[in-house]
Amino acid sequence: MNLLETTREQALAGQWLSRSRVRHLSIQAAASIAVTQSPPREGTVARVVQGGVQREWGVPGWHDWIQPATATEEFRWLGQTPVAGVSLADKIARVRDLQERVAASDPRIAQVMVVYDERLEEKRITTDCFDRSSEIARILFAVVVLVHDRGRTEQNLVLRGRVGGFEVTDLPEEEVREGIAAAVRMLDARPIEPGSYRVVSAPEVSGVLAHEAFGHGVEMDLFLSGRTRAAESMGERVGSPYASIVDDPTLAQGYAGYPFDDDGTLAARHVILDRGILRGGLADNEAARALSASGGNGRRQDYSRKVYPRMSNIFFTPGTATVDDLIAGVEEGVYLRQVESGMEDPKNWGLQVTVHSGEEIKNGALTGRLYRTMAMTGFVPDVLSSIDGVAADFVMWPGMCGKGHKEWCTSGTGGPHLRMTARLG
Amino acid sequence: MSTNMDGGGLGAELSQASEWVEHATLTAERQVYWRKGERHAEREIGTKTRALHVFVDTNDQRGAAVCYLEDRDGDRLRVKDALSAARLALNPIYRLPVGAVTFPTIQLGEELANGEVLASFGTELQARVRAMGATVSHLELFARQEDEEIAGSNGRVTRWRGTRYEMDLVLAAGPGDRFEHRLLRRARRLSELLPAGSLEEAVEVVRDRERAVLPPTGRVAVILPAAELSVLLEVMRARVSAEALYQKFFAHKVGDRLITPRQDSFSLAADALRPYAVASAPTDTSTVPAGRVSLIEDGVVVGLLADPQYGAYLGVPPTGPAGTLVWEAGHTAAADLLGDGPVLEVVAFSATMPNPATGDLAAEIKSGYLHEGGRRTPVAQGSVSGNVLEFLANCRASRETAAEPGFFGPARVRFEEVQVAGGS
Repeated sequence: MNLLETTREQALAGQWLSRSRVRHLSIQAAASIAVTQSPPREGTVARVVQGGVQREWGVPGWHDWIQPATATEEFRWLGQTPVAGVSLADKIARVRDLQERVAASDPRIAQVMVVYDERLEEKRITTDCFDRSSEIARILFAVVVLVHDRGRTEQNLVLRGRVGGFEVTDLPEEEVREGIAAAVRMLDARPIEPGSYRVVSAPEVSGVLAHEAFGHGVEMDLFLSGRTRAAESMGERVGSPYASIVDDPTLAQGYAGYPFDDDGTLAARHVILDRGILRGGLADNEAARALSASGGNGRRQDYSRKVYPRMSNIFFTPGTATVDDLIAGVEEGVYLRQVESGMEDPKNWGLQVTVHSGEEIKNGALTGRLYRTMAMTGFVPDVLSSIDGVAADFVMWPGMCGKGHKEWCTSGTGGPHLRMTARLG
Repeated sequence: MSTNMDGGGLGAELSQASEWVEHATLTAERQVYWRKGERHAEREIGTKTRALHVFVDTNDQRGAAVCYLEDRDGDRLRVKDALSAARLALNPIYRLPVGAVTFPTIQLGEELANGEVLASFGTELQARVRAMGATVSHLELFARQEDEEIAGSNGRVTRWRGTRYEMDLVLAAGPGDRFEHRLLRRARRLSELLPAGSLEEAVEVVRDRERAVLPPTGRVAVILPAAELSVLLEVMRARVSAEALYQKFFAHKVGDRLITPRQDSFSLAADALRPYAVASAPTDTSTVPAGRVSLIEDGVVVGLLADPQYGAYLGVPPTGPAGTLVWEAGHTAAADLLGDGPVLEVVAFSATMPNPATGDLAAEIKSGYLHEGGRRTPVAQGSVSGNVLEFLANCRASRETAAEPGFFGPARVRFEEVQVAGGS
């Protein structure tokens, strides 16, 4: 297939046109004390960035090329309390209030940064068959806690984010308090002894495992370029019967949801891994046509970048066990929390999930002994085949995802607690 | 291109700002995509961006906000909104620099490669790879020309033009092209996307991948190339940031020792004037001209990267754009870094993302070689972990240098006693 995809070509072909606007508001507040001034000056540093509207030129007039639409669909995913109805002053007040309360809560805290981030996306895609438009609000609310002791800096992150409204900022106090305590505890963390461990993963770790193991690896442009081993393994067992992975842009708790993708295809839930059997991939229009797959996962970083097949909200599906059950079944192992980063390797089925914190499990119980940043690595089918326990809980985390090291899109990752075996170091 | 703020009819709104700076960017980009040797997509994109930074002073406090103008209805409202936002985000006072200044002229590009040149570059590259016994499964080439202008209410104005190229290259080799190796390169000039010998080295790596084994678990010497060193330095960039120090991300200050070198000393500078460097620019968005600044000397913090705001808070001069971090090269020939084995030479990690707050790093080995007993064995997977500050305290740098985006320094560095997780 020789698909010439210039913005001008698209317009001239009259097949479809797209228009998108992204308005971005970011508010940060951090209590600060100057360290080299005399006398030290105290204050709060606040920052507001708004705007970020992107637009295209080089395309002939937008209205010149619209064909009569046979179906018009409008989607508004703005949450219970749309952020457009909340004043900027109230948004800043929410950030300041939390920042000041957290900073005052523990003398060991060196810094607290609270970040509120809203992205309002307007999209409209018109073809000779449909005219679809959407308004979506993506809200992030994060608390970063830094503590210093004995020359060492530690941090922890409490993060919430999903498509929705201002209600996303309703962060439970208990969660924030636990985040502070975790940062302080990490000051005593030590490096882990490298090796193979029984592991219980928190939902954010489970989610990135899904994302890196069989998220990128089933983006079906890689099937066309021969860049993924998954293409040869459809219908085969690559994980244990406990392992099921789904991508769902319609998931209410997800940060990366959308009603239609950047090709204009309506969003749909896709089962990737069904009880250990590799079932399907994620396609944009081009891959869907070439491979007779269903589309709906065509996404672009912004108008300046091409559409690629991409994940949306990807997760392991929940099971029936309790988290205590999973931990109780580990004689010696590690409980993994807080992801720092991850990386895929679809061709060689390698895996990297870098985790900020681990806690020793001994004789079926957490011991309180903590481990510092470590990488979970392994051969993907080996790791997924080792999953022998899935909890009934379910939590999604927001994030950004690159394809390789570029093409950044919003992402949602999560699922339940999992128990498995993996190499840590 | 001209910002022409008053001509845009925004004079009344801007008169309510204590100060303002506009950063306008006009880009023209060409993108060419190959898949399995076939050119399958081409795109051309133009972008015009006008970012307006407004500052509002109230007593001894200053608020700042940014908005983006669209050259049409609504810009007045956007500026008013930004001014309102600035009044709600007040911080201790600071000012933009004042007085006439001559911005440096830096070579930042070349005549933008047209579609034919890009196509020819890609076609020739793929032929070279085939001739070496590998294939190109995926190739993207992007060429972008940027015209930028910064104009401030302080009277400082400068304009410049630059080019940027980006290449995402995936090589495959082995039975059924089973193994791959990816190169993501960025440069100001097309010819610099592939430094001499780099394609041959990459092809060798992907061809060797078939024989790769897990590295052994243990503490060994690890050699990293410039591409990975550049990412490690982000930990140090954070530690010489006036903003990070003011915000108490770290407890040290200028004059404090961060690293006690046990082998080579560690010295770091920032240089925004390097010709054709990806990170060079004549000014930052606060109209401070580019320059060079020494940051760390023999492990001791001697300078900070500061904008006018955090420079004022800490009493240090603003430094302009951060530019390229320059790591002082060592005295050892790269070939001599191998020394006694075992030594793990990492070609590439899967993803190198050290935690800037803690300095901790854990990364999967995408490809590398284990040197032991005169043998060179390809390795893959497993991981390297530790703390970047501890790494830098016990290292030897090559005297040969290399440039990467945002980095200039030793082409290779050997770190001692690094934890590796692999096989038995």
